[in-house]
Amino acid sequence: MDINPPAEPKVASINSKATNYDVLSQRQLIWRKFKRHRVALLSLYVLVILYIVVLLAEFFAPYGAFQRHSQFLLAPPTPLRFVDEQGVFHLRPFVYKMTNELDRATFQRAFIEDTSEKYFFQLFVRGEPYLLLGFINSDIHLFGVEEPGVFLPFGTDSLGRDLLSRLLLGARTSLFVGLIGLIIGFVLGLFFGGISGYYGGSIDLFVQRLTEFLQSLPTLPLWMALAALVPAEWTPVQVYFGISSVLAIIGWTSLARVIRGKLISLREEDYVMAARLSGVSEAAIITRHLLPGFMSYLIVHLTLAVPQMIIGETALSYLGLGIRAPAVSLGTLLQDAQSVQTVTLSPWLLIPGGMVILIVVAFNFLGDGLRDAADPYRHK
Amino acid sequence: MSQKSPLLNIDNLKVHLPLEEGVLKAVDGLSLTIEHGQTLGLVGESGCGKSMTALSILRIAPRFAQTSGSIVLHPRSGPPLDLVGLDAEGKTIRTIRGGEIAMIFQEPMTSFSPLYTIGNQVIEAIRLHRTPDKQAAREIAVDMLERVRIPGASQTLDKYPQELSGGMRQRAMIAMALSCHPSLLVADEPTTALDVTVQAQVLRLMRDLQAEFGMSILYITHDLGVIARMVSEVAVMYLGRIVEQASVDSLFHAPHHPYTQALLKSVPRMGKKSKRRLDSIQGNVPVPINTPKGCGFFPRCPVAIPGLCDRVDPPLVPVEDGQRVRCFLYPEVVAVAEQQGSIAHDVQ
Amino acid sequence: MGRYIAKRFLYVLFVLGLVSLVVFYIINLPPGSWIENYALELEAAGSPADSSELTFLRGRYGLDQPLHIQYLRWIGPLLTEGDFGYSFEWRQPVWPLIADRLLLTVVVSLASLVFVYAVAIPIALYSATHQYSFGDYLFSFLGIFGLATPSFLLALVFMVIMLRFFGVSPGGLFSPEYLNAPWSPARVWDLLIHLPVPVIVVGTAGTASVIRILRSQLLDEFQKQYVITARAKGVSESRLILKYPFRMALNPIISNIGTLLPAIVSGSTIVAIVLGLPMTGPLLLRSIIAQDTYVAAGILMMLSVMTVLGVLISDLLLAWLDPRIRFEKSN
Repeated sequence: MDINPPAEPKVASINSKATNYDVLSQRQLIWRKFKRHRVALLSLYVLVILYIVVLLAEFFAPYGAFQRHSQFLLAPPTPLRFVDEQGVFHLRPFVYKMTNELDRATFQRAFIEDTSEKYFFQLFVRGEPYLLLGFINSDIHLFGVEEPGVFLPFGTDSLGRDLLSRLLLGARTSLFVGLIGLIIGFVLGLFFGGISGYYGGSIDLFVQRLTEFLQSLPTLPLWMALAALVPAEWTPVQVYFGISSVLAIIGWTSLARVIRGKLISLREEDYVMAARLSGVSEAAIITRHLLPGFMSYLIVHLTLAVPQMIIGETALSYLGLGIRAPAVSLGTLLQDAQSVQTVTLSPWLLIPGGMVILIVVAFNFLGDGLRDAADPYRHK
Repeated sequence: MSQKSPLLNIDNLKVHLPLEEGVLKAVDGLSLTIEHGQTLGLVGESGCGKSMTALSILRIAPRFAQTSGSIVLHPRSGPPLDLVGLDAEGKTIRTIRGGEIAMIFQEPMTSFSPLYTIGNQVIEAIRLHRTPDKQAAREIAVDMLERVRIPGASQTLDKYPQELSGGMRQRAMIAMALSCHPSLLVADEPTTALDVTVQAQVLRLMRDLQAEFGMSILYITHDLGVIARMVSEVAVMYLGRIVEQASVDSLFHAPHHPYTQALLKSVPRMGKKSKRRLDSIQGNVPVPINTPKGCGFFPRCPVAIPGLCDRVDPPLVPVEDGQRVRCFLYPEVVAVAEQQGSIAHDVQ
Repeated sequence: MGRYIAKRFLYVLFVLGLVSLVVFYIINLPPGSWIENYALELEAAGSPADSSELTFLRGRYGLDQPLHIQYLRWIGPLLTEGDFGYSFEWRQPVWPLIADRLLLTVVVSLASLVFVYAVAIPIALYSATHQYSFGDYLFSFLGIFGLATPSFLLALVFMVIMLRFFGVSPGGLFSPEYLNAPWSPARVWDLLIHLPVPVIVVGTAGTASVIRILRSQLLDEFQKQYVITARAKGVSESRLILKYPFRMALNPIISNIGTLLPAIVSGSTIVAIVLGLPMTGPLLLRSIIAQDTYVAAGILMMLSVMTVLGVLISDLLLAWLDPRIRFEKSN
């Protein structure tokens, strides 16, 4: 009993201020503990910023996602410079004019910087018009370079479209498909896990078998088959929801199991029994005692389920079974990287893959941090 | 049966656990001697460092714990050995663990791995310390199980722990501990988790076995009732130190330290009519992180001397025949402190 | 125990029946069919539809009948003669088309499973016994990326690296000369040489998750009383760890095969597509897109059989290894 060192410190910190006890709510305790998990906190910031940026993708993107730079097919990222050819330092960064030549030997297009022309970096430049959040008409982009220069931070794809602009739009699709899939999965999981844990008996047995059954099937092949159900003539928005549902149909099972397990173990808790004995109504027991008991676990599990959905969407779209052109997602962007030859020559096409990893890692860290914090009384 | 020769000398033992919040001084300058054949009780509230002391004797305290001081064992054969100086994973300490010093724990439910039979786990100890021969080890195990009065000893060996009751498991645990004839048995709250009737049986069994085997016992508990039944000498522990040590009789009849007095008052007594509520000690056991200087009991002590007790740490000093106390209420203690020069200055 | 095994087998049979039903319906649910598309194509090309063939196929599989009749006409021959039906696109029976690919899928999946455990167990043991050491942090860090990288992306990156730095294309499970050769020891050897790349790519995510689970399990177990008891009786540290906490932590790992195997089969499907391996993955994708019903259903069915059997084996293994489960089941 003395062996578990981290058990004591919490008492210690209270003890040291024995005279003025700090009374913290459960939420404050969780937040406090969460903040100590630096990486999780950083991940939270990264995700919040990402969601804001992709929501306002049209503004943050230097170009329209479908705008073609016909002179720049598969152009590499444009270097942003501070020091020019003569070694003069410019506080304001600039890009050189880009020209491309066909290499007669390899028949590859080579992009060369023409140092005679400089285009300076600008904020809030006017460009391709767009409709922000579905109702704000604008043509102001956060950054760009002076006309007629082009600044392609992540290069272009085979049609000469700016990869950064497409990346932001694609990330929006992928991030929200994950969320929508999650909501659908959450509703299903809550329903099945709820009736299973609450009613028990044969309903429980049935739901248990159902989740076991779904979990024993190979997910991706099943997803592939289900994705084929999404009719070809659906609009991008419909496809979007269709794919989310496909992901959710299989994704809810683990959530249902968590909810069921939690409900069952909480029902046995002494404090629930105590509440029942003192005549608290069943509804109040559920909302006041049971729900707070596993809300934190739910949030943790939801957080950890998002990346699964995102990876699923990316994989399906990559295979051509998910989000379809003209809609853009991280998966469809990676379709351009399908051939090894292309990727070897234009490695920047893999940047969307880096984005997938960043998102998934951030969600995983966030989930880990939340899990550690979810039970503030539990020692590691 | 007591021969008055020391078996184990603990001197100024410190076990410090570096934690995020600071250094937790689980054991902080503990000195104790266990004689051959003696049963020594170690009493204190939970969190006072009793269990950590026990674990340190076997050198199985958590790996990150910093242990200093000395624990000198006088083994049956060979020269005295300082256990603190040994490699905690080395061969020497491993022959002592289970061989010279055995330990039984509080939780009979979790003390055995549920994946192996009782026999497997008992025989493992015997083969480590007594005989490598499987068949002979099994015979010893059956014999030991019979000695702790487990019915159907041979069949029980082939059972899994979860098939036995708590009392039976604790008996098996005792059988395992005694199977290699240790000279010292460290018993860490061995009956706390048991029913009262089972508790009485196990206590009686331990007493009988001690007479039979003639080993010393370090009996760790927070239960003063058990202490009265089991031991001859008691050490009271508070915040990682001994605050009072005396024979059972002296301690119960004339407790000297205010902590011991308070502890005794908090025990209900049969037959003694009293209108008063049972006393409890005010405050909580502080966690020994960044402890202020002075006597550790000062914040909770009803008779503390301000200006002295909160500034100087009293030494442990014999005040009466065989009774040692760590408290400035006794002139002997003050005298020793003055001699050591720790108060001459401070108290004016 | 015998009753438990019998019960599990019956349950698996029931599950497989259900799987066949679900698979068949899902595959047939999308509007249109290969035959319709083909007829349209022929018409569009201006050539008169070779209706005799189409009519024969329609009749043979009851394609103009309701779905449940179609199902019975599919599952009947499958159960009685092992006839998986006919591939419209390839104009040949399904079984010979998928048999070899299925075998290779099984080989790659099992090899990945072995790889996962062979790599994860020593690393988890090291990490748990050296908690907070540099190595522990390094493996945790790598594990996070291993978990986060979708296997198709890993396969892509692998290909690019191989091509760029070693100048070899890692695609394929065989050298060209063995690709269509009959099985022979030399062909098996050739397969073994080609296995590592797909196995590593498929196994990475699983390895990372097993390390994670096993490490935290071990750390939990290290705190347990029975470990301290065993240490107190003088058992040496290495023997102690293997006999007590490790053995205990192995149980959740074995039961985890149930989730690991479906993940590995999923992974091998997409990795096979990216790396162009002659496994079921690419064929499944193609048959789904082309609505080549019986090929898709056959592959999906067989992949599910694989994972369901895997779960069964892990359950039985667990019951055999863990006395606690043995008691529960026999009582």
